[in-house]
Amino acid sequence: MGSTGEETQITCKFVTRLPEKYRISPTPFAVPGKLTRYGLSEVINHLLALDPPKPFDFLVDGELVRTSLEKLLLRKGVSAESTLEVEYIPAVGPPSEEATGKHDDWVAGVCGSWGGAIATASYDGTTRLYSPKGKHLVTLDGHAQPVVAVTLLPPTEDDGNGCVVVSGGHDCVVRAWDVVVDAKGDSAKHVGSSRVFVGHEGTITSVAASPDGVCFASGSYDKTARVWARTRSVFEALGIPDPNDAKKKPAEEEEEEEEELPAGVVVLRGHTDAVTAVAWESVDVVWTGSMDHSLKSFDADAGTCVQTYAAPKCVMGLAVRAGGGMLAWCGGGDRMVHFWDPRVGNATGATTSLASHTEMVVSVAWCPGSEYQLASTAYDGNVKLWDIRGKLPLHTVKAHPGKPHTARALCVDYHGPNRVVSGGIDGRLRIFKVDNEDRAS
Amino acid sequence: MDNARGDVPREWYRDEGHVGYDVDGRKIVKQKWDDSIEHLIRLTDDLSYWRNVFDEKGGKELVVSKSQESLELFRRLRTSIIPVMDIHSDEVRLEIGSSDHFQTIQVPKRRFIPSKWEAKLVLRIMRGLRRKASIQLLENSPADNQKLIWIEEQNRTSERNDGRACLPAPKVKLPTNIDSYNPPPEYDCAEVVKSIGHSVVQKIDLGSQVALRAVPSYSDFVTERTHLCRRFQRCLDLYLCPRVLRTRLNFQQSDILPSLPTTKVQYIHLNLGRRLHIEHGSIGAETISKSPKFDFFRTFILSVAVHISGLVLGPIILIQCLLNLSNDYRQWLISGSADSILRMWEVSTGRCIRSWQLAESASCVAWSSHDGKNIVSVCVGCSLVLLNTQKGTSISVHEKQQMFLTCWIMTECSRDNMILNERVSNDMPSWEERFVRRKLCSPQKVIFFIDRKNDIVFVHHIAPVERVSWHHKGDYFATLVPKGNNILVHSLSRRTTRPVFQQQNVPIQRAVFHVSRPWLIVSTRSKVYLYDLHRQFLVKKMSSGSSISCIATHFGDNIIVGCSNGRLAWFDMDFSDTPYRVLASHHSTVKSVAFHRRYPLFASVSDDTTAQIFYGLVYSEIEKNALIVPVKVLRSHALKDCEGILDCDFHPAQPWLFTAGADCTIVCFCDGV
Repeated sequence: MGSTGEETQITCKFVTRLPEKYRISPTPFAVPGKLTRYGLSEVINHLLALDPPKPFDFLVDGELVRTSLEKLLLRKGVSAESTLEVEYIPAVGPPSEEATGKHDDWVAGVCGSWGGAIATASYDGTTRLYSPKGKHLVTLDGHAQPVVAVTLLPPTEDDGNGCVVVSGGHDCVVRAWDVVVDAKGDSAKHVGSSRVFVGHEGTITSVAASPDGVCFASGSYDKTARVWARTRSVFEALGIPDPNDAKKKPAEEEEEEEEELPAGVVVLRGHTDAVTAVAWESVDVVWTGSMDHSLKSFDADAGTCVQTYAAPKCVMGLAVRAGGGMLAWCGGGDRMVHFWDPRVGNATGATTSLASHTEMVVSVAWCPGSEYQLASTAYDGNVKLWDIRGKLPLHTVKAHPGKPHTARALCVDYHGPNRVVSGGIDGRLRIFKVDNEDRAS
Repeated sequence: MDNARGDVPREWYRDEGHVGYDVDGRKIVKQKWDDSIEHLIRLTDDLSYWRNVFDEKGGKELVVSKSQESLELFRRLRTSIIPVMDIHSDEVRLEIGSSDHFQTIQVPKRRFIPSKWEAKLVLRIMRGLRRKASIQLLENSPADNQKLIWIEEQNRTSERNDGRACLPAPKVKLPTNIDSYNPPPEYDCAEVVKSIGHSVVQKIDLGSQVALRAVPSYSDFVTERTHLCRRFQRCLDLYLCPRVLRTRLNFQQSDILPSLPTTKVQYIHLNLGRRLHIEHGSIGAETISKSPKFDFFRTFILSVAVHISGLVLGPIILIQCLLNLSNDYRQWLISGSADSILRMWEVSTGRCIRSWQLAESASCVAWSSHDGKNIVSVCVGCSLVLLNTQKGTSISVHEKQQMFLTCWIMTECSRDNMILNERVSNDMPSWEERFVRRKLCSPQKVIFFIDRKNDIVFVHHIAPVERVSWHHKGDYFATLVPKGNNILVHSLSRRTTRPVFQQQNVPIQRAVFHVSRPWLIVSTRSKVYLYDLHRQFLVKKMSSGSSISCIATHFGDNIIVGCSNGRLAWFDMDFSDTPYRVLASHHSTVKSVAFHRRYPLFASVSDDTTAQIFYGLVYSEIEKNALIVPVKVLRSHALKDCEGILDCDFHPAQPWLFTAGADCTIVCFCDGV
């Protein structure tokens, strides 16, 4: 196809992995070169005769189209004469606020890994559970100091609707509660007493549940990370009562209801500064990020350091892509989200970065079920959704607005592929609904 | 012209009644042509009729006059002479009829068909050639006066006149270089010489030579020619003289610059962005009142009972002092403000974690670590207060371990069998008691008061304590008591106090321990003194030239001194008594200077609301001087009551700078991209 006048025509072949009803003929045809994502989406919608229209995103060579096709080809150095293969995927819709959970104090940690509830950790010393609709389910009290990290151990087969809420805070201990959520998801109660995991000598910065829910890891300012076993399932699976429970309960029932369990199973040593983030890659590999500008992976059973990556900045947040092994980390004053693939193996190699935040980025989370999407939040109070195939954020939400320097978001997580939850210093848990068909399919 | 017909053929008017148009556009009517009878009648009647001419174009008859001019004109026309009278020459003729112009009108047909005669001629020549008789044909063709100049020679050499072409004579090769010294025999000089018999020439063999180099010549020919001589000698010199291998100065512009910090290291600090903006007071008060749950959030009352819920923040809250050390955990930042509240902040989030209500505003705070435990020392009024910040923070640590401050001191005392002349109390001292206690102090003596319940140690002085500085091992500390113009060095474990000076008249500005050596650095308004406490003598005396306001020590042999005229002086203790480098970086008084413990950085803050970061690399080689490069000017604070930034300190591990401003904010600057 030649050019008519000044307008460049680019021959495109549109392909997709979507189901049959969203497929169009693979015959190449010409589209104007000045078309951007919106224009291409209109073309596809017109061809499919969709009503209401459905937004699409477009990929060229594994890169999201964010400029016009002309500029894209110019940048890539591809001739406009050649046929361009464009893949289209459903676009991620803008997040809309679904619910808000109010706290008395800063929300420093949030976890949405379990489908039944969302857990938050607050500086008022409590851990709370919210339903995905934003209804407050239960408040878990027990920490003597602010709680900054929380995670949910998903129920095993015999647990039913129960899960284990694990939180850690400034009082240097990790606490675990067994919580049962009723079938409708309207209320929850914690069963039995909370368990205390003692051993850290510094304040806890992060906790993370292992993918199989058997154990969890915690990072602390005492320069170590620890892997603790989830003891409840051990006792209950065997069908015998907890020996500690039977002995201690009658004596200490009034004054103290929690009993101290044995010390951490595995201590992960190797960092020279505070461990600020932990994340599981698989059931036996834990990644830790530290203020000593490094990321380390540990064998969770042996406690030995396997791999080290020298980061250019101190690490504040860390997330490992499920199955893919790609690490996303943030921290330092460079206001970027960084990526590093441990499978590449270079200890100091160049990484890709995404820059859009205006303040220090403190938390990142991968979208479950997606290889490319993640959410990040920073001290500028914004939550940004990213697709790592593009350099610009998909969406930016002013999740925790306020005056400059006082509007800070502290944590972000996904609750399923269609919900993003975040917490900030305004004491609010925000639940955003994201229209995300790509991951659903 | 009467008829304005234009270039229109006459035939077009054949059937018309007119022959054209005059200049006014009127038709010119065609006149009737006389028939032959009338013509005959008029010819007989009119004698001049035979001279009449009908002008077809004008459509009328003209009469040719019988004048001489007309006759001449006719004559000329008939004789083909140009009819214009001015031209008298008979040479100029109009070649009417014989001109090509007329002939080309019709080109005859014969021009296009081949001539039969020429075909016959060609056939004849061809036959002749076949009969090899072309020469005869050619002989006839040239003119009589032309002839081939070589024809005779040809006839002579070929001896054959049969018309066959003979071979051309071979060409003689052009002479080359070798012919110049191999002359042909007729030019051979040997024969000439023989014939002349010249004596000189006889010596020269002028015969044929093998090569040019063998040609005999005058050996000094080149050197003796005057205009060539010098040039030759010069060329010879250049050719034969020994070459000196001159090393070319091959350097880049960057090579002659001092070895600046690498871009990466420098830019860590260059794009320093404002990260945490701690509204001093507001966050703390709000969260404290919101969270009545924790014991530690209730302010610790050291003197008068002021509950935190009744805390009213004054309009002016100066953060007078700030220190962030906590070497082991690097997590907390301590600040004291003019509202008499001591606050502890979480560095990574900017959250006020704890606060203590003090009796007076703190003038100086400092961290010291002992055995992994962190102690905060605060100068409040006449006493120095040592606090255990970890008390009540963790349920995992045993109660006794949490009370480590008291426990440590008590065990040290019992080990040394010292008599406890100080009271150890479980209760808070009342105002009266403290007053009495202060009476017991002397300029040389202090009173230690241990509060076991809250794990607090008070060190009462006779006069307000202004500064405190800790020895790096955590046992000794020095307090500056300006009223007594003296420095007291205390040992916490033994609870002994020794004054540094017996008598000191010059007021002391600052006193700090060296970071790693047993040195005490004391500054007066104009001089810096360096005392070795171990050997007890004055090591060095340095003068800055202007009045000193603050001081900081490097772990090596370097001191930086901030002056009240906005200058920053870097002293190298091994170097000289005068500053190694003076940096005029601020407009007004330098309020505080700080060295980073890990990075080669130092910073200064001033009342002009700017903080400046410098790169200060000290080399391990003793002969290499320190490299000082200004890195960045940081502006974030606002001016309030002529005061800008009051204090600063570096994070112990990260390249982060904390500044406390008079605008009630603490700002953390951290490294950018």
